[in-house]
Amino acid sequence: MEILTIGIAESKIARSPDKLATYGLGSCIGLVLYDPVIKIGGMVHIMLPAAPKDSRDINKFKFADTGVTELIRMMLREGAIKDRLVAKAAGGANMFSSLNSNILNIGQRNKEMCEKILRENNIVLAGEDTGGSSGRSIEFCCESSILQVRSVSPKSIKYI
Amino acid sequence: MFDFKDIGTNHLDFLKELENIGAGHAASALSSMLSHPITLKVPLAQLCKYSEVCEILHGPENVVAGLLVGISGDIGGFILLVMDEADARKLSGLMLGGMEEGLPEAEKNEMQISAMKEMANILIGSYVTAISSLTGFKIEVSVPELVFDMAGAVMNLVAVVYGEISDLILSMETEFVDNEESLYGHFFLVPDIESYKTLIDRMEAF
Repeated sequence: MEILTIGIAESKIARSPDKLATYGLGSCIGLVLYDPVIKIGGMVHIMLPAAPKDSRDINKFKFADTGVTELIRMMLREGAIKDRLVAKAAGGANMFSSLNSNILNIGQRNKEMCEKILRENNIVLAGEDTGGSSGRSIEFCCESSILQVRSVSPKSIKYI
Repeated sequence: MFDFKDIGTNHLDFLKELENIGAGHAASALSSMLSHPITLKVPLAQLCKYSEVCEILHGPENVVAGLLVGISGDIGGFILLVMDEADARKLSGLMLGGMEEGLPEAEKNEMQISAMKEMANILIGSYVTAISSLTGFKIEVSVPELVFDMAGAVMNLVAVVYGEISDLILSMETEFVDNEESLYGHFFLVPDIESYKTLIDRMEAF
């Protein structure tokens, strides 16, 4: 079994028995798509809700709209069937409460954009641990399709 | 559109100079508060990738103290001071001079937190004063907010501000040197994009 680590604004695909992980999510969101039949999973670590309209040379995985869309494409290319795709997500916290509203809402806006893209593609969000004010690290097991969510402040481990 | 590529070596030198002066002020303020000498060194002012910043902070999961102060006035944005949790607690211990020892855990924690916020006030206040006196900008600072969490999660904030235009952020590393040990703090000066332009224009005028 291998654990594939995803950095900020990156994405990777893995197959059972391998795992996917990303660490230190704040307002960012770690979103997982998986096909439970062939046990393949994909994870993206997005940072902002929407890609700027006017730029061509962007990193798609930095943004929720382009990142989730691209992850769906990658999954299908790897043999996943769209009707079987299921999503799980974690992150989107608000780390500091004293900031102005635009930055304050970024976690929430990231989450809303992820949900919008999933809805447009008829993909169910089967589980999530989002919002709040704690950082999170996540690990997805392609075999069991369980997403482990860890926080340090306060210390907790959830399985969704 | 503003681009980080426009920031040249001369700009970084200017920022380092600001930091040096600010750190000097902060060091004397801290020393007189602790009644023994604390020196501050500023080894680094650099543009680095977000992922590299997390490595400087010993990985995205390392627990850090993040002290945030909002700035407003002629330039807006915020300043974030990040330290290893252990270093932040040690520094607060120096400030408290042992008067927190023997107290119940919750009370001790509360004292350490208020000492750290006070430290942030002093350090960031001195830093802002240096920027103001060199540039002539009027800058106001907000009350500091303190969180303990994963370095990646705390630094998310900085990445988000420039995320749309860049993968780079400006990092300034400060070393606090006590008699016995070195404690490390990292300042992140994060003007909003509009204010970055203002700051750079002012630098060019020098």
